Amino acid sequence: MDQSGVAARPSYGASRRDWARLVVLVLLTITPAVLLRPAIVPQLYRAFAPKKVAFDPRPIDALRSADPDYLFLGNSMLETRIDESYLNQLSKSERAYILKSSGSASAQWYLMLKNFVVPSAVSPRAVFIFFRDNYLTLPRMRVNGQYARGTQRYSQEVEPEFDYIVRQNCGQQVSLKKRIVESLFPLTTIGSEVKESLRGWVQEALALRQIDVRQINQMFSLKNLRRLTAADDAQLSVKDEEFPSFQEQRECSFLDPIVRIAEAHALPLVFVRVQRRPTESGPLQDSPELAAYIRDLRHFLVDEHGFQFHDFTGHPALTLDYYGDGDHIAPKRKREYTAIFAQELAEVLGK
Amino acid sequence: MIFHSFDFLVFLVCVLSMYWLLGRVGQNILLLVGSYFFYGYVHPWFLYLILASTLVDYCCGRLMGVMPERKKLLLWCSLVFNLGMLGVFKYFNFFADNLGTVFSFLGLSVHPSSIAIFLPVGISFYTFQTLSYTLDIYRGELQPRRSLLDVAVFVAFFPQLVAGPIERAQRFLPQVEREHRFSARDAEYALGLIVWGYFKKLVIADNVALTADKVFSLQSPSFYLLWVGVFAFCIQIYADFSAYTDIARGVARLLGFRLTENFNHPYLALSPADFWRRWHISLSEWFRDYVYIPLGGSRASTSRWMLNVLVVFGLSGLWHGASWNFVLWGTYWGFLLIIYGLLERVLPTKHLFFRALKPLGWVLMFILINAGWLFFRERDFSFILHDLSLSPFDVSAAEGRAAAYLLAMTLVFTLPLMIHSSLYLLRVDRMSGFPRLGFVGRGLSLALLFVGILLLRNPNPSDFIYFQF
Repeated sequence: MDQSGVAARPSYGASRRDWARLVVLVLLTITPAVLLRPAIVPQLYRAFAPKKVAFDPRPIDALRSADPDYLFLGNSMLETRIDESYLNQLSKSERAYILKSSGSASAQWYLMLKNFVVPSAVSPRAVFIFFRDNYLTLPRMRVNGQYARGTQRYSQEVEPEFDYIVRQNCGQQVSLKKRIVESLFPLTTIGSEVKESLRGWVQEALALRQIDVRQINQMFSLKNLRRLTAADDAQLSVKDEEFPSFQEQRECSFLDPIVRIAEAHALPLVFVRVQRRPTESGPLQDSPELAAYIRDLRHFLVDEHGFQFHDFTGHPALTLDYYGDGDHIAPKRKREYTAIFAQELAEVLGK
Repeated sequence: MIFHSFDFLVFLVCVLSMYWLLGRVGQNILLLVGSYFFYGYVHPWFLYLILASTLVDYCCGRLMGVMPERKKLLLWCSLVFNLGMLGVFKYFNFFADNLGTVFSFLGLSVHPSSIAIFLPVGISFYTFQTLSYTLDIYRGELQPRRSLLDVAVFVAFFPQLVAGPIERAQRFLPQVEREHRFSARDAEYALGLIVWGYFKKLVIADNVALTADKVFSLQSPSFYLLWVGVFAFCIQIYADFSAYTDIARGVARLLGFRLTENFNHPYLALSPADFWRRWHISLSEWFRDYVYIPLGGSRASTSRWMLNVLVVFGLSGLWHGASWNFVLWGTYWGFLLIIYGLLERVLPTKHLFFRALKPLGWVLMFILINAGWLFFRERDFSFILHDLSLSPFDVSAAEGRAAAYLLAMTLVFTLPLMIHSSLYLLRVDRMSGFPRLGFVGRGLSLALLFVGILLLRNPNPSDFIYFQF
């Protein structure tokens, strides 16, 4: 039975001794983390300094050998939509070439253009870039974490423009919160390297060779997956109430560098906006903010720079049954999509 | 608002800095305003529901005190309102879809429409909590409270609002009704809980989740890969859920409240009954006291006892989610309890021979626990059937290596939990505090955990799993 009155409670109080204990405990907890900083333990930071994965130049030679008429850049949106060999049949060209990069975004497309396409000296009739919504102006999308190694494979030893945009946020202030945390606890800056080392130690302990690690990664490639996780999809969309204008997003993004490289090397870019997964009753409607963004993007690319822009959003043929998981086209519909693509871009493909 | 966000840190500092300057009523007003702010932070309309639930149960409770002859009717009002609210927001589409399936099977083209209903976070937790108030008044175990403020604080207390532990009115209301004074000892204890909680969430749960999510995203994992994924989920869900509880208990302790323990090293369980005395203790006790015992519990005939167990665990499964895989999971546990219960009646389990078999018993129990998690994690029945049909012999060397690698990575992050359970077995640690390590030992442990959080945390933390329930 309870007591309806206010129950008396033994009072621990806050004696000086108790306060002292609490303060000492808090200090014991955080002091080691504060003291483990480069000035005091430089060896720790040297041991876990980011190790750059070597630039992989093989795509340059592959591009040179292929010498494509039509070059495609994009991520799984592209890979699930375009069947190269079927497109070659339709366009009566033998040389459509997809520069594969699952999970890539604008940072990787910029690096691929700069470090693969330009050095290969190929002269395609069109360079297609497949993207979703405002991907072209999300510079930090898929650069870090599990994407870091892939990004580094496309990077030279020094990438000043990349670093300026991604690491330095175009010279703008890194958030105050991040600065405070990193200055108090510099350990946070080597976290990803520590975890990478941990993975390496486990691989060594299990005597896994590089080829074994690649095989393991292959097991989780797109073709073996059931569906995108909701988290993956959720990562991609920006809440409308946070959606900045095109100009604001363009300011510190890879869009201008991509355009600049293309113009400097006479690469005819064709931007292809893919349609997101529709509902049963039809395609998703762009929010007013996104619609304004797309309109401004189109103006920038077409009117200001003479590139082409094709938007598949709202295409009457692309109903829900075309789609597999998330925004991917189902494998059994890939050829049909390729045909639709070929038809819509018949002028570009020279049909 | 989520515990591992900067917004929550700011919110907590603001609440604490004002809380200790106030008297009892002021503290409760602050707690209520803060709790409503916490709950309505993302979706303010959630507040209508919790407010409605509070008002209905407060009124039913007061009226039960004034009109004891109408107690049963008033209890029914409370039950219908709260369970009805839960039913609509959580189960409407589930029942509509299943009804449509039944109609189709019968050849009728009737399709009850599914409507887009947003599940208010924490509704399963606070409706059960608030029901304990009216149920205990009905049973004469609690006096109705005059103070709406106190009842509202009991229902909405923010540290445990969205994912428990489910507090009982008998235990929690007296705490609401007294003034709280700052205790440095409580703050010391809270610090341990909070740091350990964040470590379990940000380092253990969010890192092993990568393995579990990878495996469960495969179209056709091999036998060993699948069970490594299940094991990873087993660790993830324990670390994740117990982390929430620890953080909730720590924050509550900072405010002078003591929340109930919700976990007691569940993976040390030797039997299904033992597991449920260690896992989500507050929910198990709720079902035991309000469903199982009123149905007759274990005092009924054997056949009735078995039915009671199946009903309770079927409902427990359904509580977790509006999906048949949760019902399957609950029923699975029901059958395990029945089988073990029957065996205990027949076999002399206290005999030395059986006591010597304890290690084997633990291994078996751990395997059965993991099998249950497969049903919990895998929402699609076709995949469950596929998973159960996999052969341990039909595995390539590459798949074996992948399984070994992912298992090793999971074990690396599981190590702290193993150490924690070892300390418990060695009687060094009492549940989630570290009182017997000594002051310096505790400080060093917390320092190690804090460094671990900074170095090993997943930079993309996910929501707590039990938010979805």
